[in-house]
Amino acid sequence: MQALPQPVTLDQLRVDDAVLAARGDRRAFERLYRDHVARIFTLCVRMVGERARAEELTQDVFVRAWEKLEQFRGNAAFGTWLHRLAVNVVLNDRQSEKRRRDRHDDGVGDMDALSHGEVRPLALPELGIDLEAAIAALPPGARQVFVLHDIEGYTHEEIAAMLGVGSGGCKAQLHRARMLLRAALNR
Amino acid sequence: MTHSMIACEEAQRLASERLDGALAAAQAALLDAHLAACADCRAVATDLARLRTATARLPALTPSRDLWDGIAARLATPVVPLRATRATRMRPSVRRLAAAAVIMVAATAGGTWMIATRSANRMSQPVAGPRLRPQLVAVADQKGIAAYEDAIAHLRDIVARRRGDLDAKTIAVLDTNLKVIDHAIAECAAALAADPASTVLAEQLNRVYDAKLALLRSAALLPSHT
Ligand SMILES: [Zn+2]
Repeated sequence: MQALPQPVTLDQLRVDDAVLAARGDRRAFERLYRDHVARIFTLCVRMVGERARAEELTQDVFVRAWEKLEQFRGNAAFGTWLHRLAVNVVLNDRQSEKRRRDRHDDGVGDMDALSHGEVRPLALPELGIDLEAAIAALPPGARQVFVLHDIEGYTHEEIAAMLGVGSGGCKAQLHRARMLLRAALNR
Repeated sequence: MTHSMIACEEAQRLASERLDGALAAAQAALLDAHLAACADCRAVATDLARLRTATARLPALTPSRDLWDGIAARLATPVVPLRATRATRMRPSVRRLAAAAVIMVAATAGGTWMIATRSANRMSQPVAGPRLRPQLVAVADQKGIAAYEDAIAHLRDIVARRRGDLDAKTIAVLDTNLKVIDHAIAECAAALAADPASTVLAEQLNRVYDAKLALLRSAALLPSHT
């Protein structure tokens, strides 16, 4: 019996697109965009809670990535590097909007409102669609921590560093977000 | 706090925290004691766990329109540096490695040749091939590439003579792989021509040539069809 040679694909052999893009290859950069746009857009939508704004931010992220690609040394995976960059872009944007938009994201005041709702277990199957809407409706501070921790998998320490807060405050925001989501979904 | 030593608020906080990892033993005991006695907090704990599961299952979202054109319009035109002297920028370390590559490629090609010849002489047992060269060697100068091409020509010769020995499926995969690899070599060589000093590209070209060598070598060493 002969051992067949395994089929190879061009992807296994071609020059890394991030390397090509860093040297100014737009087509390589477009391939990177196609590979990563869904993940970045998803992050942006959930972080800001608005599709239109998220689309603009997604574009900002890729423009910024193009400008900074020279600094990408290929030590980390490109996807990881890009994701971090996207978090920064979104958070910086939020900082500028914070003054304008969120006047009532002031801490734990709304916890009382949700302490004693009726006790009905959450039904998992229909949760998905409602959950997106409920996340979007969270106060921005709680939403960011929830998205970064429970969806994107960053640790409290990482998130605290990104947001410039203590990790205790970060944990409190996460708990708050979860309780608000529970209340919203139980309604 | 009607039920036990901690308040409901604290119990719910701990229940939430436990989703992210183990609590200290003392805290876990307090929480469990509370949950055993308090239906409200049990419901909260169950819901939070369900919420966690649902969150993990959220699918990726896609934009409503293609965002690429808007991005492309904002990308600054790349500045392509003009290189007057193209071939002279090779780093010394790359040169030294290239010299090493010449020797190693020649050596492994020779070894393969001997084994392949023996295997063509109706050896009934599969022959253990020579180990593939494990380390990465940059060969991005003409001398290094020529050494690779020599070795490849050599192996191609062997494989061509063995075609009758190999079954049709094997030959089909072999031919497809060679096409893919040649495409990658061309792509990489073009990138390297534009930026001859790039060690990343040199190493990549080296890797692709290695893949080609390995493929041909394994084809040369395949036991006969019958
Ligand atoms: Zn309780």
